[in-house]
Amino acid sequence: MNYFQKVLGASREEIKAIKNSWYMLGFISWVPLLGFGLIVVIFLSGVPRDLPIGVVDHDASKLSRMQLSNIESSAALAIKKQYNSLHEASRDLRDGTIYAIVIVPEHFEYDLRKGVQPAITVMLNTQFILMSKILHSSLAAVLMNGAATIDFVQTLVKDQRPELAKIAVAPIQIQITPFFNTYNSYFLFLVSAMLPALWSILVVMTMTIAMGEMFKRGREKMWFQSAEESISAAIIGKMLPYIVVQMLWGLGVVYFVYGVMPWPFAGSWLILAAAMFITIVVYQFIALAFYALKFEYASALSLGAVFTAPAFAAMGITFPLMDMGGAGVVWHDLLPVSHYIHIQISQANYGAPLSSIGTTFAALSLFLLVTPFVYWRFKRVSREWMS
Amino acid sequence: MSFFTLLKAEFRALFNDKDVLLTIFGGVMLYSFLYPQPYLREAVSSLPVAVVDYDKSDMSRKMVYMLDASPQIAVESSYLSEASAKEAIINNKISAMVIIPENFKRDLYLGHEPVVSVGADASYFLIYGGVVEGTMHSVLTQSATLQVGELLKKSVPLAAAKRQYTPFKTEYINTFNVSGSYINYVIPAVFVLILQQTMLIGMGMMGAKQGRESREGKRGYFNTESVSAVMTVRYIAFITIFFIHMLFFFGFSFNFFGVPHIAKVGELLIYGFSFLSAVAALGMLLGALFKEREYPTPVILLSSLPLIFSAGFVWPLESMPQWMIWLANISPSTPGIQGFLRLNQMGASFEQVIGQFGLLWTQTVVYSLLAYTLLKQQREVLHDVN
Repeated sequence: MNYFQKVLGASREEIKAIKNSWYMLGFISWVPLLGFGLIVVIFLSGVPRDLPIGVVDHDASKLSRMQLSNIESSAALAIKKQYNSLHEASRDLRDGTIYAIVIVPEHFEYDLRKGVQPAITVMLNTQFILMSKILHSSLAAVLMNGAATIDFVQTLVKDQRPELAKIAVAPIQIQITPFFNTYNSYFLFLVSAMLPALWSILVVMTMTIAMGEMFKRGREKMWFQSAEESISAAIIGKMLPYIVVQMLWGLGVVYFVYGVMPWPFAGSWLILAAAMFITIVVYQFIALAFYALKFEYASALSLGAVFTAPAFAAMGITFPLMDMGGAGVVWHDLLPVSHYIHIQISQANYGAPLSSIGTTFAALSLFLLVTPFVYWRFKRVSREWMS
Repeated sequence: MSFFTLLKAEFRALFNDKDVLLTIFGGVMLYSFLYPQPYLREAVSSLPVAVVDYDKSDMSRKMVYMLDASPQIAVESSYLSEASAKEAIINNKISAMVIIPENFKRDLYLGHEPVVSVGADASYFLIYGGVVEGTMHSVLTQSATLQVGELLKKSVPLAAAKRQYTPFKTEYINTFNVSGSYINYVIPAVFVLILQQTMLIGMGMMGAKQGRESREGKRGYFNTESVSAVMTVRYIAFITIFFIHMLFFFGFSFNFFGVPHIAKVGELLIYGFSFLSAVAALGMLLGALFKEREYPTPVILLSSLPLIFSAGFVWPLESMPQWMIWLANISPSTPGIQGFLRLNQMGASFEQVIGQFGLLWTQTVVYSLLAYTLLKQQREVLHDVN
């Protein structure tokens, strides 16, 4: 029997075990589907629309109403309620009924006509950072437009020449292009990273469960013998069915984001698949190393959970790596999925050549350093099974 | 068995299970320090931005100077073409590029409205937002300066000119998380979820383990004493331990990481107790549902990401399907996070979170009844077998 056949022997044993356990079967089928599905559903709308805001219009004039109707017509904003006082409005801001308050001062129109430059005040709930950023930019755009319209009309009245009036409004134009995420979609930004984060947790949990359920049923001897008592072949054979399944899930979710949803994938699927493969193997070995520490199922699960749970936070997607503190960077580097996600972005968004992500691949492969430990520990306990 | 002996038995069982201990003490303590680490610098600043200046006039240099002056941006002027700047973005050396067109100065004087283009990497939203904010502000400021200059030429006095460049101003006031700090944004919510998940895993493991032992015919306080007595001591044990954790989080950790906390202490404790009760009831139910002590960890772990993002503080509830909101409300973390944020970060009064408060107690009652029924049923099955 050659080495490859030994590996396959162990794989066959594992597939038999999966078939016999609804729990393991669930963990490679409907559990991931449910997890990925819920995240997709939460963010499916992509860009928040009609965020509720409150208005306190102390002026109630034609020009103040014009600003408010501009706000209402913006896709991101919806005026939930007009309040008579700031006091009433701030109550609703505190319990999250509205995310911002727009205050138009008294004599707004009067001051405008006299050229006294009144000020509209916007109070943003910055506890909800993402929402407040969307509100800030949408309100800024709407109100700046409103100001420009008034300016244009005023200048036109004075000069009677529209092209001159237009120049005075904005001497420098600014054009902003979001690279790599053209529609500024939060779905693409958050979900494309969140799904791999969840996926990395699944890889670790599934491997730990596979090992744990085997020991729990006392089938370790059978496993060892299925690989003709080659411990490395037994380990690789056990990993193999899960590598296939996790590759399918991994490619599936990335394909969903860039293939089914309308986002372009700029780079090479082959490079991405390679990164995915290494990430799976690396995480499986880490899971095995946790197991091999004490050969206790529950402790291995707890260690795996502690290690993988905060993956999304430390990835450097929501909060950028270059602004993380020292310990944050160390933690980011210690998680294989952080390196994976940089490769995914480099391929999906930048279409970067392999040469530019070589070091990331190297960093990812560095985790393979745990393999000797896994081998040594399993080798040692395997002697006990056989004696 | 007297009540106190029973309570002692419960605590003994808890402290003898090192996997439960690792989760409910080790996990909680580790995360309270580890989780905030990535966000310690709180906000983005000095993002490297390439400025490609095709004009090289005193006007364009002034533009570069103004860009560099904005706190979000640090100008890298070594890039001479768009192509090299774009490559630098791909290699993560810079976050964005600003292109000042040829004849920038000439067009300005001729009134041709030159266009400054900004291209920013939108793969990372905080970076993108920072760059856009910084460049917009600089360009608008220079625009305004030029307008004031024009008005001065028309012999409008300086003070009036400054007022007139835009007919009205807009002032933005940040409330609740005034500095816009990321740590204040993430920690108050994530800590609530950490409390829930570790408590659920701990209770789930204990319940599953004792259920298994009962089925194997072992006798212990968990199957000799009445179901309601066992439930009571478990509630007391776990709520006590997690109440201390909660005090540690909201007291020590918040101060340590500089997170503001404005709720009245009494209200916070009442709300916290209600939250822990709901979690304890759910933990009791899960402990009865899980057949093996190894099941709770992976299942509860996997629910964390969907739970944190459906709680309404990252992504607006208004943008989620209604059934998703209902689903999220099954978990105490959803009303928990919403109530704690409103009370402790946003300064809402207790009446304003009465809806969430009511939901927590509904959960407590429903999950306790379900757990009781299930445990009672399991006892009867055992009794029949024996």
